Amino acid sequence: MRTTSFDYTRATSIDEALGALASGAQVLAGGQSLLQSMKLRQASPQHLVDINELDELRAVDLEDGGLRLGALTRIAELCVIAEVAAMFPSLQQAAKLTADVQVRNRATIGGNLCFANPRSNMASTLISLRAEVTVRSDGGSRRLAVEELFSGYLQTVLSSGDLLTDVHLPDPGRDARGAYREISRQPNGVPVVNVAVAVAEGRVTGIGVGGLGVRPLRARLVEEALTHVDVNDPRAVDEAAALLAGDLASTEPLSDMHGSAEYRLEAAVVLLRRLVLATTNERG
Amino acid sequence: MTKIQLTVDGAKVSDDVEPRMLLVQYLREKLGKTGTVIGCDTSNCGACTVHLDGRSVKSCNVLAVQADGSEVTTIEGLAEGSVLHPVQEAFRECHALQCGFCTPGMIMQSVDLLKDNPDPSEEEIRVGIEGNLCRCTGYHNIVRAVQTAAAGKVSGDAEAGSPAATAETEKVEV
Repeated sequence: MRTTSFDYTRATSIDEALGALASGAQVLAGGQSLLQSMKLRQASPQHLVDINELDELRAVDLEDGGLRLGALTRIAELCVIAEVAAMFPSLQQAAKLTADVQVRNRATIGGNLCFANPRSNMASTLISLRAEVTVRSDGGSRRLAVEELFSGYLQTVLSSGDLLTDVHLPDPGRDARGAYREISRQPNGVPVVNVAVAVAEGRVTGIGVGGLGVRPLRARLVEEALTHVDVNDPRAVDEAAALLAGDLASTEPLSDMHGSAEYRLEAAVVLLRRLVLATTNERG
Repeated sequence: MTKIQLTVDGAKVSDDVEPRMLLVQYLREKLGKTGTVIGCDTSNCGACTVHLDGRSVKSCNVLAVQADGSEVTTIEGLAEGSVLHPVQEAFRECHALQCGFCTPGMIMQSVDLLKDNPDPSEEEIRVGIEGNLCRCTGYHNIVRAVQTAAAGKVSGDAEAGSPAATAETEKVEV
């Protein structure tokens, strides 16, 4: 099916993009999710502002022991950037499991977050890494944690006029390791549930979970419980992982043709337990 | 309407297009390049794969206006005159098709894969073309063709290559 008609602006500066957004335009980044939903007439924006020419949104820089990724960083680039591989291996794992080569060549990290699919590989992984985003508008700029970006199913807290410009990955800490795992119907399909765990010096520093609620979650109760237990004790890790049910209470559970809420919770707890045991115990 | 100027298969073209026109529609309907096919129109099957500024993309999921100023290569731009591209030749020699509908996309994606990784393992090939579906499930010979192209074992000699490859394939597939 064809999309409805729309006006198209190719922005040549961030200010031009912000001006168009302030007057009601919607951002077109990689377009890999947006154009699909437009073809299905699930979205019918009147005006698209294409930000692909904005080179300043493409920068990848070291920043305070961490990394700043411009919003236009393609998922394919995350698969090959040396700093991502060295500092944030879970992000690279999640990137490699996103869609396929052609889609990754277009899809961007900022677009992926703003589409707010609760099953996004990127969202849960960035939450586990305690990433933040910079959002600019006509009125200035602000920073918020990735976990605070999502307000509901395919919805963010951003308002019209806002442009997500950067993703900030903080210093991962000493002896950092992390991992991403998912359950999906087919290899590289959109996962039913996914879990990402970040670890530094043998302690869990962040847990992100996708596909469990209508928005991606940070598993704060599980994180907190794990700080008090011996992460080498499988039974203690089991008990902590089960607290995921409590973390889910902060949002509405996701239940659809891909999996019931009950199945998703059980699967996510199992993934979480396995990931914690693997990442905290493996050495070297 | 929006004015676009781009290079397609080495030729400069310019047109006024509706912003909602997809790149694949532009290639097929405006330029008559029907070698690039529409399989699923949902960015799942990869049949419409072309190269946009040297990277493979699904042209049903890119707007024509987004290709303004870019260089597009389609399956029709791979051959040098009557001499097939080595990957095309390998697909022909290995009989890497059944119905042939996925072939343009498979070849374009395989060219992209070999550019990044000139000597891929079988698994790397299968992962590299995971965004391309063959509804005949004829992946075996497709993978073999990519391996053949990678090894530089394409004869490029239609007279010598074709009958032997066909005979071998028939033996396997009866």
